[in-house]
Amino acid sequence: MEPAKRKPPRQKNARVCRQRRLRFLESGGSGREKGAGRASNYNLVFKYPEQASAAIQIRLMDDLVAAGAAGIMVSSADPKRRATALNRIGKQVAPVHDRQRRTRYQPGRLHRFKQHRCRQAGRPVDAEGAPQRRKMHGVCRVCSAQTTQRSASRGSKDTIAGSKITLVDVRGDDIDQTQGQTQCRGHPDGQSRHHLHGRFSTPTTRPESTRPSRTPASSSRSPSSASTRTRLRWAASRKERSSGPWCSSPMNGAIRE
Amino acid sequence: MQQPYEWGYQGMRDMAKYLEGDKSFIPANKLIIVPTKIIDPSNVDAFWAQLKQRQGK
Repeated sequence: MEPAKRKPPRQKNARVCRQRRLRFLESGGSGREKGAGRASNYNLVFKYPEQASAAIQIRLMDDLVAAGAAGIMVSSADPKRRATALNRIGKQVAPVHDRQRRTRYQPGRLHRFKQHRCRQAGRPVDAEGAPQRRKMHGVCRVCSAQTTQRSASRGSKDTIAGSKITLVDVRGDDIDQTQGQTQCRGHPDGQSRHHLHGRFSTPTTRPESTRPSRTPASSSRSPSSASTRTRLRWAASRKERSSGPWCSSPMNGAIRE
Repeated sequence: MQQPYEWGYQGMRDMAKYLEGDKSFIPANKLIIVPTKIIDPSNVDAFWAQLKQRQGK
């Protein structure tokens, strides 16, 4: 007796909805294509909101639900404040994958926490922390978002707390991939370690006055010869240095926790 | 460094699994973390090349 032939699976719709077009996140596209190869029974539709607005994104997802999407994979904008809306959508269509943060609405979410990321960044240095190792730990990251910086700063400090490592500075790539690569390659102090984390995005021009000092630990530099903005940054970073591990951003000044 | 490639790949793969009724991959805390990739001077060039490739450049 011949085995019963399996019915071909019905085609379902799966949707991908991103915050906005970011160059770094474009590499997620090739991951999706690879993942889609394992999900050939699905019609994949990519939707890009015209702006990185949570309201627009929620509206877009509502439209997708109305159009009969079986699942939505979303890089949610402002997920904390939009949890109610995401919950509502998540009850209508499953699963919702959120790349940003912990919310309580769906199974199988994919999360990357900024603080988690920074804690991981500190680990290799901590593991190699030989007694003679200098107390330096450099971190390169994009400086476009203050909230991201604060999270990164907090996560990095948590990691190295109690160790021989001091976080010397947080350098941004200024949303410039080449600059991020260059910063990760070299530092005037060969003993320091640089970890590149964060994300690359669209290129911008970096003002000369905001470039990081080549000797960030130097406290002999006088602020009087610099611009007001630089003086304020210098004062803030000095205050942080005096209280232990500190971190400053060449773009946005010292990070205040 | 975030790994958007892994997010895209794992997200799509797991979404398909879920829709097919396989929920075994979902951990008890319903949280799947895409790990951070550490980039330092020893691997920045390889990472750069891979990033370019994945961005289709």
